Amino acid sequence: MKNQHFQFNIVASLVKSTFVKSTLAASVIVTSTLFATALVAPTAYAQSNKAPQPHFNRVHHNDEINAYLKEYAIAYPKLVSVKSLGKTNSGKDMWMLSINNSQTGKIEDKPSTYVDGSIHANEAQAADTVLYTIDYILKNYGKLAPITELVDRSALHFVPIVSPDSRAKWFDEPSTPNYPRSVPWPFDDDRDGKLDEDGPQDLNKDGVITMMRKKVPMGMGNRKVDPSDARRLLPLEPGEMGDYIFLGQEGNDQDGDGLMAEDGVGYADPNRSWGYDWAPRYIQGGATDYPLQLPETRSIALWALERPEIASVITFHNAGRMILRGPGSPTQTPVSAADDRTYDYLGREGEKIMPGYRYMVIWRDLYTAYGGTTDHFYGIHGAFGFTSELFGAVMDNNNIVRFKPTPKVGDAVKPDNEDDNKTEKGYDAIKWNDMLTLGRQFIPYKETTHPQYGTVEIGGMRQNVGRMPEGWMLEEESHRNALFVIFNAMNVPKLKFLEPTVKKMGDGLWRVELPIINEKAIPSVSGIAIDNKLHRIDLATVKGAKVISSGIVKNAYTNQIDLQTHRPERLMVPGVQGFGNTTLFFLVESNGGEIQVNYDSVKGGKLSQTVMLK
Amino acid sequence: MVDLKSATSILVLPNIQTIQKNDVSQNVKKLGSRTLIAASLLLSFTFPSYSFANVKDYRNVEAVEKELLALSLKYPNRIKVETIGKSAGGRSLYFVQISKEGKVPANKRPALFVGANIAGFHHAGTEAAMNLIETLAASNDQKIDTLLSSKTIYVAPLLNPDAHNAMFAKTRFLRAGNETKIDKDLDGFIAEDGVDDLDGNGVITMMRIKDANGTMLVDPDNPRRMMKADPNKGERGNYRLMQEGKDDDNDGLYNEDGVEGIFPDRNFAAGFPVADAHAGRWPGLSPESKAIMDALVARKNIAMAVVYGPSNQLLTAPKGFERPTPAGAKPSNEANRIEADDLKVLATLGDSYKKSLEQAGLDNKRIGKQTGAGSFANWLYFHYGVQTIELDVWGVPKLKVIAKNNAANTDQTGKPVVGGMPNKDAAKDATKEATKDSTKDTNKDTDNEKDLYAYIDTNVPEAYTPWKAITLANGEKVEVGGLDPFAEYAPPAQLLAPAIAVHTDQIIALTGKLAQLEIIDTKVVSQGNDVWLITAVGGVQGELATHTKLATRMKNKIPVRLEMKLGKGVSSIVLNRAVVRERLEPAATIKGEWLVKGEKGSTVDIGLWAEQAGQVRTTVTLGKGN
Repeated sequence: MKNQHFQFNIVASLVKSTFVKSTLAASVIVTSTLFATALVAPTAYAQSNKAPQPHFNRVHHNDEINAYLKEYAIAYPKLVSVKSLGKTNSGKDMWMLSINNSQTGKIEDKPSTYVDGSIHANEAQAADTVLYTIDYILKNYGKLAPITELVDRSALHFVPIVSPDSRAKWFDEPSTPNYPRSVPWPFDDDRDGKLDEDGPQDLNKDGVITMMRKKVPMGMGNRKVDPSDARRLLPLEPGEMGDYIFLGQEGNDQDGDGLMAEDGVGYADPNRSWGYDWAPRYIQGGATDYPLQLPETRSIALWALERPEIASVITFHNAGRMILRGPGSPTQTPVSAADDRTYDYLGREGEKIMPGYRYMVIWRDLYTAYGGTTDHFYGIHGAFGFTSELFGAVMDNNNIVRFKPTPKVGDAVKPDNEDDNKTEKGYDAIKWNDMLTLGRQFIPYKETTHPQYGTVEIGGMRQNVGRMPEGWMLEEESHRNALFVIFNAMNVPKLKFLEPTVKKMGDGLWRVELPIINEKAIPSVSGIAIDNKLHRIDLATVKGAKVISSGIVKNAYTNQIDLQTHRPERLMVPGVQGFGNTTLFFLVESNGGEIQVNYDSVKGGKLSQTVMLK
Repeated sequence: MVDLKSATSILVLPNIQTIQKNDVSQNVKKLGSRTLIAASLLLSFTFPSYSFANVKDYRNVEAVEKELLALSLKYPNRIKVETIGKSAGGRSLYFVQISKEGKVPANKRPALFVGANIAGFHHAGTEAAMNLIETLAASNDQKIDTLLSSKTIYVAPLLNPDAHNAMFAKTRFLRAGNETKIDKDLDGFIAEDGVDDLDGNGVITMMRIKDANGTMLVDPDNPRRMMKADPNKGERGNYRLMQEGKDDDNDGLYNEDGVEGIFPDRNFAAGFPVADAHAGRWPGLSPESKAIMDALVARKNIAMAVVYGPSNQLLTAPKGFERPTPAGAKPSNEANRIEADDLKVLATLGDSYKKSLEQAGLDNKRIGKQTGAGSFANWLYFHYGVQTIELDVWGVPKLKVIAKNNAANTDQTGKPVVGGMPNKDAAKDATKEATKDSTKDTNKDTDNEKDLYAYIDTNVPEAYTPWKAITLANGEKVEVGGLDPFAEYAPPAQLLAPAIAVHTDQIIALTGKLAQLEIIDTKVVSQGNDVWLITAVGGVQGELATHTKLATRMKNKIPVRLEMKLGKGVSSIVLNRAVVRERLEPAATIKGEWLVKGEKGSTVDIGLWAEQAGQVRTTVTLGKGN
């Protein structure tokens, strides 16, 4: 089941059979991170002597991140608020940090952006990317004009850790790059009536769950040692016999069914639990009994119901260096051409911000996944969402450590041409470990006694290898992704009135045409919001005159106007497209003078324009 | 209030669309006159005066609460009442466990679940559920004792209390929605344009407005009724038809944003309708649907579910649901049709159900409605994975049956029994005529509506309000009248009582049919040197399989497991593995074999269990009888 996950497959295929596990080992976690603050100049908005100064060259434990959130709230009281959206299964808080400048307006009157990370607990650096984004925005408010404008005209909400229970386990208990991944919602994976009774075990008590292999007499094995590197097992070529058995993840048979590590913590995947285009478990692995059954995602979904102004969503995962967008499955309403244009613009610009990342449609280019975060926010809130899959195995794409993978039996036979050599090159994780980490990542195989298998060798990669970069690579990737968040957030709708056209139609009767434009990419009402009837569309009203008739101008030059036949005083406007325009039409009764046109957009904010009737 | 737009597409709702259907029957006059004769015959007898406004025949939420509390105090060993949550309006949702002391704890026995009135307007279901609880609580019958000590019955008698109480409001209206506040018409106002009792008769009926552009006209054969104009027949509409109420927000739509929130019976994930304001933003959002799903998920011993709601799946086989797949999208592989094997079970159960109805003198020929998109019943079968039956308890009887039977029946009893079948000839006639009729007239909705008018004329003539002209405050001229929407769902008590009795018996019978695992045989054969081959064969007591066919595909239930546990001094020669089967049908068996080593006289335990089919255990002694 867990192998269905693409990220796992990428990692597994890249690091071959020697791919291994890890621990969070003491080296990963630095206990204290509050460094001297004297280097940072104070700004008008921050009491910067209190502002936290995280270092972004390592991943942070939940406790550290949550402490930082509260410190930001203290340091930036005019911009930041922190609250708990609810509790996890184990009673931990779901912390959210919101940035809103209350002096420039109320949250509900501004477009907003939602950002989260680590919904998959093992994708630990996703939370750090969110933390970096928060830090970068706050530290640059008042210094960089685009950031100042962004914060002043919109609100931003961040949940750095969507799956706190398991992310804490990933740090605090023996783990692997892929485990624990789900929330610790007990699930009977092996259907024997016992819950989570046979997970992977740290048999050799080195604090890490790695891999097991066993040396057997020649001919009894299904693997051989790589002649160029004894740490690696290779599959057998036709005509060969093996002297090793590859036993998989470190663990023993705790429930006596002959299987090992087949019923570990979880498995309910919170990113298959959202409320739009959800599918039951036999269709979608990791789904629960019904959508949003898990308290983690449910708490976010219930909060979001109160925040219809969310127009942009970014959710951080690893790995694969992808900018993913919905739909997650082909079962959804085809995305409207207008919404597609918006996605394409944001995604393609993202590829420029993050070299090596590919802009992809989830179900079409990756795999079908029902009940994901971005589908929920698009299908239920009409917000444009992207999943950023952080990190690919070879971030330093410089060819020094590559090899051509051995073809497997059954692989399609292709002519050995130059193109193949280019595209089929693999990545030598162990050599990379040797050259660039001087062996930190790989724990050499050592003999141990296994309760069922007898003498085995245990070793392999640590847990923070394969799906996340080394610390010295982390900061750059966090920065590029933070800037992708900021790029999206800057593209929430920005509406602006242009000059009105006013005509006197007779005694006390005036015709007003008022154009309104959207200076950013995200429409004030998305196509899906209309298809799925998601929220009130934009509303235009007039103060200071009686509205006789109203409508939307289709063509100002031919006088083509779509009239609203009822309730003309509340003109319902199906939004303003990204970088687009619409023109409001009003026929009003007035003796002249000023009237005020108010425009109220759920996702585009509120604005008004005084129009002189003369 | 139930909005017209949804009513035309969602079958679970009150059949307002039938009012718009064109009546093409040529028989209507003939039948009508026959009905009138029957009606006049009936009216000559004393007849308890029944008014829909008279709510004494049905319990409101508070009365149900009081009764449950009293039962749990009076019969603490049998009745356990639990609150599983609160409705959107803050009313408690009750979950009742009915069981007796037994060898296995109640939550490990095969169980049947009954959930009533999640639809909101199905008060008959709540009455039936309460009757079931009362009957089982007070029964001195030895058979019931035996049943309740080996099986468990769970009852949620009132799953949509917010809507339920609309029947008892000062202005009654057929309500399906809870009290969640939703802006249904997305105009920025919440609940600003609901229904209005314009004629002040205490019930929301229908309203028609003369309109040259309208699509409705008065049925020439039944001037009480409005029908949809059929341009193919040269008919031109001259009315618009909607529920009673003015356009409060002046947007050109009538009653499109009333007080109703989410319809809990549309808020489940199987076939969940997207873009339907009453369905809720996502399946399981309503506190009612979430509470009952949580309660059921926590009770893994439930093998069968009965929903008391507007559909009847034993009279008419359920069709599953249409995948909510929009144009241009590709459907998922999720099952949306009942598996053939599970349909067979429904057919078999349906035969005995129909027989019971017949024996009680009730109509068993009528067509059951289909359950709607995102319904509770569909979730129970398609996602929760148990055999599920939605039953409407009572429905408007077929017209022919009323006519025939009343003519035949009034002399004998002096009291009308609607749908009663005093003798087989009448039943045969009814069948014949119904069959003939259906070949002639394929429009079943029209049939159903004829049945409804005939039933009302005979039993509750006050359920029809004559059309009456009213001028609204803004000068608009409208006419208000038509059928009381409750007439179709809430019959007078004396008509409902026999139906409830049949259904309580049916639940008891169904519970008795649940699969209960048994160990049929065990054998120990010596292999010499203290080595023994143990064989165990298990099977099923009861008439049903342990799992639905669909569950074997979903694999969301633990399979049947036959396990061997080593006793002291006994070791397993090979890996001691459980034998598993995804489903055991009544005649099927499961067999396990284990090779063990141990001294003569030592023991091993054999256990056979499935979460929803009970558990049995037996101890086998090595060498005994060898």
